[in-house]
Amino acid sequence: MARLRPLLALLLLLAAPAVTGAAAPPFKSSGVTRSADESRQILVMVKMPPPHYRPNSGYGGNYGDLASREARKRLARGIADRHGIELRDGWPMPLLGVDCFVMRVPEGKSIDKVISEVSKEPGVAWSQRMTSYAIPSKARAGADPLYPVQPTASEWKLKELQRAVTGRGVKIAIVDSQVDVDHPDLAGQVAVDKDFVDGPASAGEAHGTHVAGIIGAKAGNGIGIAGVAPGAKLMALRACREVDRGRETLCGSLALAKALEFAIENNANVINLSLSGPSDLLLSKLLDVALDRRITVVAAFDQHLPDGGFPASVRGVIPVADEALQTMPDGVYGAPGRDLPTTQPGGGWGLVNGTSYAVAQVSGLAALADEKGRRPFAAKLVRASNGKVLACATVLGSANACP
Amino acid sequence: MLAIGGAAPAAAQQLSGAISVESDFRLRGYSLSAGRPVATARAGLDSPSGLYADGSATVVLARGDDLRFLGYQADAGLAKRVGDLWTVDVGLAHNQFESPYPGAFSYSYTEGYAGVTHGPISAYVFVSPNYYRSDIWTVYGQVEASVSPAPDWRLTAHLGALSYLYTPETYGRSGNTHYDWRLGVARELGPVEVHAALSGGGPGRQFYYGSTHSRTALTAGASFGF
Repeated sequence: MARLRPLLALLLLLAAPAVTGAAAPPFKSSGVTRSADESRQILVMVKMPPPHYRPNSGYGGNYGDLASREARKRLARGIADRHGIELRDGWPMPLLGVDCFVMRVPEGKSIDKVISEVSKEPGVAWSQRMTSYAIPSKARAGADPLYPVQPTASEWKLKELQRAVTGRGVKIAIVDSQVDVDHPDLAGQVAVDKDFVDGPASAGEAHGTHVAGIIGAKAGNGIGIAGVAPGAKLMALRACREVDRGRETLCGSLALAKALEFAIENNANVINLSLSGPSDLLLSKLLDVALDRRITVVAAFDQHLPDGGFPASVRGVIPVADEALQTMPDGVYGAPGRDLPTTQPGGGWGLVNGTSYAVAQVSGLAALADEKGRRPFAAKLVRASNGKVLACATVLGSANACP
Repeated sequence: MLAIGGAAPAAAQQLSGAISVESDFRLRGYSLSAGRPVATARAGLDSPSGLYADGSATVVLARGDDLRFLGYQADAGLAKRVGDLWTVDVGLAHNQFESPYPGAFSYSYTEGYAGVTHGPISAYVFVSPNYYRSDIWTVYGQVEASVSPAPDWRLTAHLGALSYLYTPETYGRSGNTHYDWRLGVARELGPVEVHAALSGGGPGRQFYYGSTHSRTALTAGASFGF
């Protein structure tokens, strides 16, 4: 130890200014009154330099990325100081070549004006509002958990389809609220379980668990339901959280972005987005990357939003609506969305309604088509004149009924 | 130290720094610190245009608590993203290393390099006209990969090979192709990273402090980024 003393002394001397610099306020996680707080949050994208050679970096660990990230944090702190806003959090988005920083605009300041000014800062790629997405949850409480009839059983001839394919080897990213991965009909089906929500964890939330069951519940296990693609590997990516005792499910754009990036980086084949809301630049760019990589993205079409809402309106994303919709717009696909039996958090089953679940059925169908080699899914997806998806023709490539 | 000129405002440049300690300073399968611990101060400058420069200086704690300046490394180049996965990178690097203890050799060389990065994998080629001695031309190729198995953890792998393109007759024969490899693990703890690596190379052993030593070594260290 005595021999190392001069070395340590030198290091402390060298590190002193750095330690002083690092004493700036750390990122604070957001606390109370989250919804009001979130409405004043903005995202600031600081450009990330391209990865490049650094002499001997491998032998000395990964200092280049580490130091470079600290430099961008310093840059973000400077931006926050100059504009009188508070730096809250940061998250690297290497897919887009930016570090995404969350900043809060204090009361009394115009959010749009701050966004405009911050966007002109050198080193900033763009800035935007933090967007929130709401998922309506319409579980029918008290319904028969053993309700035996799944609409897809008759309409899509699911059993016959699953004799040919089950989605084996296909990875489906469910970007939603927390999936109850211990549910007996889902146990073993979820290959990845990640939480991107800043806040308390949850063992299982309704919407995510419903969607997961419809897509990938075990088939032929003697209990519950059969998912559309029981052979698929589910990636349960929590980007939404239940509020108001589960009456509503909210998703923040940053958590969605984190989950999307994870799905892309981990080679998901299908991304299920049972949500809709206003357009978001960060999410749009990530969806562009996903579509460039030939990942199938299925999203909810909301007839009450312009162009069906985001992300369904993004070119290349497959917009899906409840087939009970009276008039199905051109280019929108209809799937069963009423009285669907599915998994509930805590181990039971129940009935659900809504476009969210129609989306989930089509995501499962995408996995079946993928296993069959019917790619790209968007080009193989067949719909009837009334907009309803024709499952057998989509998966088996035949207009005839299932064998 | 290197400087970069650019049209971008100063605030857009990203100036980064790091201090690190390592149990041994190894480069391409050889210990340049004769197996002794080192401390390195590094600085880097990245411009929005893709131009960059890095510099580092290293001291070694030689036997007998003899703290000596070991050397410096500097590089400058241009990196550009091509799509969301690919990056191309070209540049120049200079390495200068003094003897780690009295009587040992000192080394220096300059290289031009070009490489591509595709997601977690990178491949580079380096050409030097003066590798350790003047007029010795070499080419060195390396492939590296880096994956993050869990948040804040990183596994790295490196494989490299050096070949002599031209050696003046006065230096005699410079030998066969030399290779080196490394497997590393790193853990980030805020602005600090701790890491360890098992590395080696061939052919042959390395001579320092009066005896030969294995080229395979387990090293450990820590870095503080700012």
